[in-house]
Amino acid sequence: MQDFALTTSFIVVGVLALIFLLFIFRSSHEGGDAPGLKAEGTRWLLICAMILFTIIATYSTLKPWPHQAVAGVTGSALTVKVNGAQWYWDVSHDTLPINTPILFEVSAQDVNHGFALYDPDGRIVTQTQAMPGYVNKLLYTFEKTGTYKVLCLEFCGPAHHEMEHEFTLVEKGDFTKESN
Amino acid sequence: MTNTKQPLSMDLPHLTDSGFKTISVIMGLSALVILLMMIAGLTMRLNQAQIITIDAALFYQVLTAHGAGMVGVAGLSGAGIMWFFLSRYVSLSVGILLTFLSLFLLGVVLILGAIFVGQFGAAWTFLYPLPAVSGGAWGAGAAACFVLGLTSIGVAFLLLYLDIGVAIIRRYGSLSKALAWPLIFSGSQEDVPPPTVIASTAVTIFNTIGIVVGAAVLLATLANLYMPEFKTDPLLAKNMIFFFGHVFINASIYMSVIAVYEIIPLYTGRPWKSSRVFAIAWSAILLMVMAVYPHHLLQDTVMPAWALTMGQIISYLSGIPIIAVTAFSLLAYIYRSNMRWDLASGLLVLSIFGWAGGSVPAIIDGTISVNKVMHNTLWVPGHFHFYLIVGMVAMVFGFMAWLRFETSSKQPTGMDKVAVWIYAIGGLGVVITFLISGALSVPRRFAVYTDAWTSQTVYASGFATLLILIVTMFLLKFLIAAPGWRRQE
Repeated sequence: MQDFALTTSFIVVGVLALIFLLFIFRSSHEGGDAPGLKAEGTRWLLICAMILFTIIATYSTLKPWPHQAVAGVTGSALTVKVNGAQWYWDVSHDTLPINTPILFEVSAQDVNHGFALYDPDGRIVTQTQAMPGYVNKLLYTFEKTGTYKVLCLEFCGPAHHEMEHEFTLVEKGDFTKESN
Repeated sequence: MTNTKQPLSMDLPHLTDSGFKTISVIMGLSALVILLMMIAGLTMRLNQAQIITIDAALFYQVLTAHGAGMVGVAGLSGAGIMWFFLSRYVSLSVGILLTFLSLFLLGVVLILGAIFVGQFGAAWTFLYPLPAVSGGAWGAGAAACFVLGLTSIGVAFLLLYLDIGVAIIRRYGSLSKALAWPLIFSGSQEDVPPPTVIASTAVTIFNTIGIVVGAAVLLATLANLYMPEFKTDPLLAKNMIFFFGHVFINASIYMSVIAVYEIIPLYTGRPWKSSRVFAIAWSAILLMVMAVYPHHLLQDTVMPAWALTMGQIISYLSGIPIIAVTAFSLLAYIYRSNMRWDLASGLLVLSIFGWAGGSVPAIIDGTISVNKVMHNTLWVPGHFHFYLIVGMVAMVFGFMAWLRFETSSKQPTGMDKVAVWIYAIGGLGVVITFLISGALSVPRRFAVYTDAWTSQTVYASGFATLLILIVTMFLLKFLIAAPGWRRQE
């Protein structure tokens, strides 16, 4: 997802830069009249294209609803309770099985925190906010075994960067509730 | 190719000498603060690059100063640009402008005191209840000082908008007429307001609403500092803070873009028209800039689904006024216009590219499923530095360059064109390193980096240094022209 976002951004911004450079180059030419009806027609085409993009992108990214836990798709998920506080994470399980839906119920004791899960390669796989007085629900199915880190991604004070936790992801067969 | 146009003068019948000088002071102060805050930004990047080491608590204080300073000065310089050009069409009070500046400076003193004396470091977003729960890092007095500083700046803006709103209504009869609604709904060509008036009216409305909401949550935070039993709902406070923050920082760009509407036509010889599309775009902006803010809360699953959906959809639609209206119009106006390129025109055209370009990663991050892996990584400062450095700040320096040409007999030099490119390279370099780091999941607002996160920081520091050097040159050129700050009548 991250690579897609970066590549798409660079391509679109690159095309935009080329268009600007083309018009800047042409700006030094003698021109004559100000832009007329033809330009307005092109503008409306662009507006229609952007509205069409909005419709397609909205439909394709919001169906199914990305916050699956809220949409009720929890099924036989394993529930993990998470509570963030300055500057530690209090979690109900440290070892979790892969290929099993995990429902994280995330809250905070004092101030806002951010509950972000980093895979063993150091990439974020999912996240939600931890807020006092509220429980944000996050459903995620891990696919790789190894050590996943939790980092706080909502600034929460001078030791914000030290607020870490680790989950160990094991094969489903190796996971027993007793191990926790 | 010889461009013979000497398009730098503008008719400013209502602008008094004192008004002109006050605006010059506002712009000079803004540029100085921008430079200082860029140095603060470089300091943070050098620390993340492990080239220098600063204490974590101090890092977060610098972060707080950088955020508050840049957002504040974006508002200040944007207001200066808007006031300057709006005074062409309506009668504005220089006394109010001076009061605005005084209250703003009072706010700056309080904020600096809170941060560097009181060691307040809760970031400029003062996310409730962090100001009151510092873990011993700062006291209630420092937090109160910061909150009062922001409140003072908010009051300054409300006062200025009140004067602007009254002046617009006096001249055009009503805010709806100043938004060109008769043109939108009935095609009436009678007394159509110029782009500056339409833009100023929209900004006055939505930023007044934004600041009032901000003031309410600031006062709730203040009460909580001294009466802990007085609590505010953290989700409500979060909504209010992001509503205020989003509206305020966007208002700074929407005020500054007026410089493009007013100055580019002097170069192209083609007036920026208040067309029906333009008027519709600004009425759409008025609504969208306020309705889009839930895209800051996409990872709060307790938020109603309709609000998050609205945040995503309006994030996408917000690109239309920027790309299809403003950027499209700019390109159409400069096409074959035989315009001259100098520091002012170069920076102003660059600014629209920066604004439009910055909207692309912003729109992508406004998608809930992307936001799940990008939120609060360096992707976020990546996109807002894009439309602030390459966009909004370029508008500010473009305006200042024009102001300098406008008041002196000096003509632009070849170095000015090179300076635009250096600025663009420095700005884009800073932005691209942020975006790459964001895609690599490097968190934002972290005082200490692991070795794996430092790959982009050295490049980022290099580009930031380049940017600081060129901005220093912009500021010095402006200050050197200071003795000539007297309008030729």
